[in-house]
Amino acid sequence: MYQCKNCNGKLFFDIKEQMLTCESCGSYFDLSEYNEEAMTAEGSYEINTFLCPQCNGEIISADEQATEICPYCGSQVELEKHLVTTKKPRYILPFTVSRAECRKTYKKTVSKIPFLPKDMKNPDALGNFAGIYMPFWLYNIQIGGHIAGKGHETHYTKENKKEYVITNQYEKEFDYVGDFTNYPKDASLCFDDNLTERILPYTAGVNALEDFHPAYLCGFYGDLATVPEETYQDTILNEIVEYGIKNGTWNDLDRMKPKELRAHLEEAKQHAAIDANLGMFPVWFMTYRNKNKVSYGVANGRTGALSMDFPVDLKAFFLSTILLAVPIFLASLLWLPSFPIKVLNQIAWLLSLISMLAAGIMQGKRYIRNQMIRQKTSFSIWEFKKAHGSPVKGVVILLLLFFFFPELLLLLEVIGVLLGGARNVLLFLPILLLVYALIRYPKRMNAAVLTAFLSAIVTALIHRLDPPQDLYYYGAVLFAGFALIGTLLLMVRIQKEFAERKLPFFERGELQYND
Amino acid sequence: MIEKIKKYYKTNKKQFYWITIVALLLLSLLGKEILTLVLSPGGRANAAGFYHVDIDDDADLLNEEEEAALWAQMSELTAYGNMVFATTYSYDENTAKHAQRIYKSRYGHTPGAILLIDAYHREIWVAATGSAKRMLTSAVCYEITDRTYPYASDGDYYACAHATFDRMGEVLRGGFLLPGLRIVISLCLSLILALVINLWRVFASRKYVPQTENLPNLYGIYRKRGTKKEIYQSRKKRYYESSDSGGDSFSGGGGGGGGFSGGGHSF
Repeated sequence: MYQCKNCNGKLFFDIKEQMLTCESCGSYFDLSEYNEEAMTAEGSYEINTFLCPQCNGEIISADEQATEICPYCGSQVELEKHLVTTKKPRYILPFTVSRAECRKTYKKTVSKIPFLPKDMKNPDALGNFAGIYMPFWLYNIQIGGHIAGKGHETHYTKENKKEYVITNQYEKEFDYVGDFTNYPKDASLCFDDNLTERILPYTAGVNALEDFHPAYLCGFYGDLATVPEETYQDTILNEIVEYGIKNGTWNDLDRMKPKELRAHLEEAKQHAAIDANLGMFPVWFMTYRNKNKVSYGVANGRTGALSMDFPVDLKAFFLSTILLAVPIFLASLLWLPSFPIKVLNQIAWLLSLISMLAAGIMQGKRYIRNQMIRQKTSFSIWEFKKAHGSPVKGVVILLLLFFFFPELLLLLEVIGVLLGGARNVLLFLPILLLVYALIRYPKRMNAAVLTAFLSAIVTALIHRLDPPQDLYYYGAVLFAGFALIGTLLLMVRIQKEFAERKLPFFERGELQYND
Repeated sequence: MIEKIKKYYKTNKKQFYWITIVALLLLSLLGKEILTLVLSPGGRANAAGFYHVDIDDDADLLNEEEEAALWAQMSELTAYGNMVFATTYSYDENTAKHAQRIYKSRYGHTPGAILLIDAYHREIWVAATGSAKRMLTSAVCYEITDRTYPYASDGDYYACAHATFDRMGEVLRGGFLLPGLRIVISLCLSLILALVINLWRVFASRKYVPQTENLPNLYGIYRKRGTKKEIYQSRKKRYYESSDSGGDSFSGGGGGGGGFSGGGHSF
């Protein structure tokens, strides 16, 4: 599409020089030397698009030929070339991080990741990094209003060598305005928001935005904006309200309750002005295909920030676990046999509770992820965490419960007596948790989590009944041990699933081909 | 061989360090035990009859015939240390300490072992000291009492004592107790611990810090305009600076153990 003015050779955009350069004669050209000949009408332009027959994924390019590997599904197929007219982006951020730098970051990153499939560590796989301009909606938002509230201030003064503290109560009012410019949101359906948000921000981006010119795409690919502008409007306004609440602007109004402030900003949100421009941001994109699963890696083409799906190589994981278990076993022979079995049973009870909590949370995440995949919405673990809180809190609570075990027993005894003299009060905690979980999250249960529940009940029951024969204790501890192994394996499996995606299949949009 | 190690070191420096650390850790943990096993394969036997036998049946759990039979059995073990059998009905806070006290009052820290049947707490306890402790470690003592307490539960105290000294003899002569369920649990727990460590490695290496919450800050800011302020109440109070009073702090630690290994079981 763009040819060298000296030798008609193929041009590509040189990242270091930020100019077009000829592949054949090495001449450099400024982009302004090339008129936007591809422009067809106001706000749109003509460009080559390459369609993958396997997954329907489409990339655009200023070149006449495209890669033989589809960046979305990793298939080695000949992509179908078409000419399209599409909306012209307003801005573009050219690449400043080269493929070589990206490889370096990738190498450094993967060297620190344990249990990664060997192929992913293989330098040959790095050749798959493709430079792609991703469409982003860049929102401009103005939110404002008038706010009045009460606050107080304290200061110290000295009079006649005596110190005084003065406290003033005041009423304050002011106008406020929140101005946000070029707030980016991923405009491509093909890229997972979860991955792209992790490589934000394009810190240098806002000031370095260039007017879009199709020649920037020489040697690179681009993705089409397939998400309507309106999609993120609510999300972005909510984020700005949340930011507003945490922001220090209202510190003066310390007598104002957070609820009142939230209501005020929610009201202001209704009158906020919002519009968006389309921008193209640079991303180095890597696809790792393993049979019928695919994992992605993306790197910010401006900052080099890397975000990847890191699949778990189960073979390597299990081999390492067994090798690690051997020295632990040898060391455990020194101290474990002198551990009273009753204490081991108590530890097993606690571990059962922790494991059912942790595995339940992971299972919950998996359930929500699968739901979202079914509904074809983006999945973000952080959104899940925001909604469900961090599991760390739960683990800390359980650890505290362990250290205050005797007090807990006493408390449970009291509760047991209050509830009608029930004897096996230790059973209450796991049973209550089980009932709660079954009612609240019935579809998120699975065999491993339920076995952990059961082992918590069994160990508690044995502790309570205190049978004279040790065999019962050993049985309970072993059962809890196997249940724990089951929940841990479940967690590894879910973590593996999180880093792997099913092969994508995109629905064709309304894009019309010109040919 | 050295060349091979050198080559391995050059290509896998990180792994080499880890292996060295783990080996050193294992050596520090297991070294003493390995040395003990190597240096004293059958316990350090002295001339037979050098050490003493002592039966102190305060709780009167054995008859005279049983005591005589036990005396004979215990005498065979005096090559390895003093052998004490004691029973008690009197209250003591802790059976383990009670057993140690009885032994110490008779033989101090000279090598030997004691079996105490505490009828008050309904607990049996085996403790060993001196060179006998190297063979009769706490783990072994627990293993022995785990197997012999059922006799005491059934009220057959002679059988319990007989079985206990029998097994103690087995170990002191350099024998090995077949691993029981505790070993299976050790194996299970080692696997769990290894899984937890590796799972933690998986999670820790794959986590990321979300930036979303900070993003609005990068693209804009909230500003105030035309602030009006009206003070409706003002209070003035004399301010006295509180003087800090220094407090003594102290720390303390418990003393070391009494040089006994031991293990027991309730019956």
